Amino acid sequence: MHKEQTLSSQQEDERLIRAFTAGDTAAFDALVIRYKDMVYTMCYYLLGDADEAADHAQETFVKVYRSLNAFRFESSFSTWLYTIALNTCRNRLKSLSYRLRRKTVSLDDTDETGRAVMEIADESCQPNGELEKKELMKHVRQAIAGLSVDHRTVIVLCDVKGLSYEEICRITGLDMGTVKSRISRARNELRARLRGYR
Amino acid sequence: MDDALDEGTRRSLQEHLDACPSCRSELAALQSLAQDLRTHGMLKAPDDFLEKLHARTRESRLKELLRLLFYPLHVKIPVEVIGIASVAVVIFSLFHAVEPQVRMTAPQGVPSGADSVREQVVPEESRSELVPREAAPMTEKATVQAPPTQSETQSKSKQDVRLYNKKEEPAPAGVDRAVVSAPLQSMDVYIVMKGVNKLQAKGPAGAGVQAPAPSEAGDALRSGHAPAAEVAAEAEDRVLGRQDEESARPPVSRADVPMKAQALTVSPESPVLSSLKDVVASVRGTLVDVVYDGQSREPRILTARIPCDALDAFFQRIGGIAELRTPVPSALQPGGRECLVRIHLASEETLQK
Repeated sequence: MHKEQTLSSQQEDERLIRAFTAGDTAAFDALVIRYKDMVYTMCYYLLGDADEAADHAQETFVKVYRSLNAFRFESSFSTWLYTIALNTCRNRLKSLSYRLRRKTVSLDDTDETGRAVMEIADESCQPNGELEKKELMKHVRQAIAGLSVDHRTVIVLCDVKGLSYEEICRITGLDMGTVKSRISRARNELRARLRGYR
Repeated sequence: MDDALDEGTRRSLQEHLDACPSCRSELAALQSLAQDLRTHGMLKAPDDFLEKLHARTRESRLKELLRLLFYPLHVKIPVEVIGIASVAVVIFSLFHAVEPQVRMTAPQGVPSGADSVREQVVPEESRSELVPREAAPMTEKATVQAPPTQSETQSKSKQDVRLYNKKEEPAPAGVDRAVVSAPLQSMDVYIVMKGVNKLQAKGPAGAGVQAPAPSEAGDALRSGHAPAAEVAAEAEDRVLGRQDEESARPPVSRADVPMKAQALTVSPESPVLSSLKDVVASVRGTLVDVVYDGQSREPRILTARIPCDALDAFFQRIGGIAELRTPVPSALQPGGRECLVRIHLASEETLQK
């Protein structure tokens, strides 16, 4: 069932890309609408800031817009898109301005260990009575934000987006063994961080 | 939990989980975490995401167009390559900047012994300023050497080869050739161009300015044109009443130099200079410097690099266009590649004096 959905999704992606390369700019908008939440989520967990995430998710789509004509369909569009998003976020994480900004982040919010956590705007869960769910999400995001960048990356790709190990290998450029061990360690660390809340 | 196990491994794991409540609860906790992440981890992009993206793509297209217009051959070069290239350029330019300095400074280090006192004729206005050498060093181009007298010419035969690096170790008397390990050997050659003497009569003869008396010469030397040790030695000689060969030399008219310069009628475009250049070039030599007279701006000394193996041929060809007034230096240090030859253009009248 999941494979059939993936196949139909890939076929839809291919149709939209061919339409865009033929001159239909609306096809690109359709692609953006299909993937903007996924790209934004990935950028959000990696960069830890809503504005940064929106900015770099848009930057990712701008890069896609520029180079979509050169897409050869050798991999799925989603894998290619996530690779671009991951590299965009990595470049940002390595940049001096980002590191300086991280040093000046507000220390008002701290977790149970006293470490500063990044306040995450909850756009998806506006108040609808689900207070418990909102509280759990807040702790999950704080726990993910406390992971290292490598662990954050594989957790987001594997558990948030539900990608397969092979896709994660292609996106991150790591070998299978490294991906599996990182996922295992990241889950254990995450579970340890959420032990008091679940 | 990720559907990553094959059938056999999955069956054996299931058997273990059925028997182990601890591992079963561990797996359940991990599956619950993954489920929570998948359910609640997904975020929603801002509502104005698409509009902002449209604005950025428009901006991006404009930037791309400008980039193509103004940087059509834009090539990304790694910083490492730029660094290596910069270092190479610096080393290359340093190497080529140092070499001419060596060429220019080397002749200043030539020791001038008692038999080769050099009189430097300077303009009248600067002659009155007796300043130390360190304070006002004379540049190479402003220096004009007086041609050698007969006694100088004879004494120079004992110094066919003078080496810059042998200041502290003068060659022993009677040794005609010096064999040292200096990389570049030098020699001074005085020539009189054939057919030039006839022009002497046309020169501004009898300017009447006499060369400095021995005391004046001493002042001139102290004015910064001779090493301090040499000046001190000459002063000592004077006190002790010694008369050396130099002091017995007839006074040299200060007007000699411009007069001789005119007598030579050598100008940068003159046939004499061009013929000397031809001779240098014919033996694969290089003309490295030309010293002009300070007042008449005419060439007086030519400095050339001559391959050692072509030295005989060089002097042979020089003999064809000029009269050599110094003995032809014999073979130099074996194995040397080049030697520096300074050709002094003199006139018959000066040499007779």
